[in-house]
Amino acid sequence: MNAPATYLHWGFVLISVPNLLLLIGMIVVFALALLAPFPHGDVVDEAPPPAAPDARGEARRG
Amino acid sequence: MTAADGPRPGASSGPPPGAWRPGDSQEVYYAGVRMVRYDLIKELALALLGTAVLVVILAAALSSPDDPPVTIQSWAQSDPVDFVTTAVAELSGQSETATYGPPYNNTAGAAQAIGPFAPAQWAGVSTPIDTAKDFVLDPLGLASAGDPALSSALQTYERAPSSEQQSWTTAYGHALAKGTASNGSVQVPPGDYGPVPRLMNSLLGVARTGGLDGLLLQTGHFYQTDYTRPLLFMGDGSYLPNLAAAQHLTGDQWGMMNETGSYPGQTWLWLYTFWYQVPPFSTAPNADLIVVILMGLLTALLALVPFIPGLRDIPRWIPVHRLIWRRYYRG
Repeated sequence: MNAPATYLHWGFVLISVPNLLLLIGMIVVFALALLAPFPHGDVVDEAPPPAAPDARGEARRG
Repeated sequence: MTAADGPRPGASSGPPPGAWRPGDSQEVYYAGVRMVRYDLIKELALALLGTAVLVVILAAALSSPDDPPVTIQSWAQSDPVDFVTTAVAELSGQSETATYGPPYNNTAGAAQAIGPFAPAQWAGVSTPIDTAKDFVLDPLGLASAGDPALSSALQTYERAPSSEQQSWTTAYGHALAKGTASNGSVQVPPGDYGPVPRLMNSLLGVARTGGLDGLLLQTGHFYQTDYTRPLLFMGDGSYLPNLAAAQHLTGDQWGMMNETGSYPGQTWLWLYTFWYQVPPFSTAPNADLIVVILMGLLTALLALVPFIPGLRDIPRWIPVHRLIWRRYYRG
């Protein structure tokens, strides 16, 4: 790793191969974050709970 | 309508909006909302563990940049003619540091400015550096203890009129173009250089032993961590800039985002260094000031995106969030 890096040159753009790989890696990770499915847990459709008393102690519709 | 009586997030059934009130329990508030089990602690622990393992593996495999340090000693040993040429420029007040202006000295017209906007001038000389005194004469004064010949040469130089000093250093500086190094000293064709060759070869001798690195680091504190003077001295020569250029680290080589060896560098600085590569910034004498102001404006623009019509509408035109929450938007 201490050996000199290879540099790519287009016009005024001068970039090292390690930097280019890092940039490509960041773009790939960004794309993966967008496209990879988010892990979903078990969906639990909870039934409405029973009526709970409110602050005034009165039972309200749940 | 307040936040408290607005629609609940994700509610698809259960009590209609307005059927709950502040003070209701969570069970009432979330009644009918589809729930998903999710262990946030588990995710955090696994992410930390995965990152730690990755860091250990990558550190073991790749290590970190480990170039040997460039010192005045290594410079004087590798390129004595360049060292002496630079020292003469420091002595005569012709080096880049000697003519830089604030924060090192008061060279007229040297501070970067945009019209009347001259922050460097306003800040003034905060790190005063007299290159002849700080880089050459003071170190030689310390090194002359027990060396009568060097003390005498120093006295001759310091007592000479300024015009004669300038004549000696100018002639010696020109002669160094034909200078050669041997046996730890620099020889030039004969000429009227006064005591300058004696001074310069003494300074070279001190530098080659590493003594000048220590003398330029002296700050009067217990720990010497201020490398300003040795760095400026080395930067005035061509040895250090040539090493930097060979590693693509100079300003006109996108150097801000590069690193030594084959390591990736500070890629996040790409926009900062980009400006230095293109006209008019690449040729402007006050490029640093222009780029700092430009980046300040762009940063303010980024911070104020929510308040800028057009800019704040970009997510509507490029709805990346719809891709992230595609299940929701499909529904």
